[in-house]
Amino acid sequence: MSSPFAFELFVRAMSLRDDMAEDEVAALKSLPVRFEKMPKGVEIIADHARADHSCIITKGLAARAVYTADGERQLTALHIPGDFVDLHAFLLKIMDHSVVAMSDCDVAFVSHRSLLEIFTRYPHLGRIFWLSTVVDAAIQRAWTTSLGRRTAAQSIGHLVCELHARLSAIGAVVGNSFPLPLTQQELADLLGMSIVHVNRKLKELRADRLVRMEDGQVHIPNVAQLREFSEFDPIYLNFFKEPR
Amino acid sequence: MQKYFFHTVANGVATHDEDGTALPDEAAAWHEASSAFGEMIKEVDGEMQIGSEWTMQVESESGPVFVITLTSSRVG
Repeated sequence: MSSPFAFELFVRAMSLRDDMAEDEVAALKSLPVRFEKMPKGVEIIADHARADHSCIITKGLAARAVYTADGERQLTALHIPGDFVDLHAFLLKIMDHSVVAMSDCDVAFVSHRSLLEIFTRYPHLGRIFWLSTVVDAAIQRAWTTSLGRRTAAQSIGHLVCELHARLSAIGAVVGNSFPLPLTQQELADLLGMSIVHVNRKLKELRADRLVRMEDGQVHIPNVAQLREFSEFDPIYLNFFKEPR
Repeated sequence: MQKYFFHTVANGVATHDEDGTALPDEAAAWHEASSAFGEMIKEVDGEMQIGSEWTMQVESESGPVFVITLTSSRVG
């Protein structure tokens, strides 16, 4: 039996931004990968670690985490299947943050040596990977704006709109619903708010028929309405096809 | 874990927390209340009226535990 294609969802999401040639996809298929299962809560990569492999998520939900001295943490990014979450380590060498499994995850590790080889042989593929980290940075800008300038309800709405768009790109949204298996504390860590404030705002959003979040499932009754409320402009997710 | 309820009155609007939040102890409930009250104030954004009172009352399943109050009034 042939092993699953670790980059299947990565190729699917990046193909919405640029065409990938057959030989480029074939090269990704031939990359040696090591599959691993990471249970919820496990640190996939530790802060300050020096990694010689990068990991891509094939199933589940992971987050980047930065800890403060008093034990609190800010989750600075959420990653879904197809995200090459730890491509950053390829160039960073030493990690400035941790990557944590938010649900049971399947991840695939690729050695930096084979990444270097493939980038050298297929420069366009190198730019595709580069684009994925540039999109990560664009998402970071959107989150910074939420933390600094949007109301709490808008920030929650914006995050929900973003996840809806990103999960739609990998075919993981059904009837404007998608799973988000996060605890109240994890949501608070993600949004930089207290649990109580998040709960109050979720209640408001539910009463206003903008977002329903329950039992690890998110439902958006009217996507256009939520996008307008949250001032969500999907341009930063870069879902348009153009040669790169 | 114990359930704590965070009821608020802001700009004359009372919000009763029926769902509650599960927290380890009273210290955690106080930390949550003082953070959430701060966040509530942050969102006032010029809308607090002179002569109003904003409160957050924390209740455990056995009764009220804390209350935080913010009042505004004209002094001159």
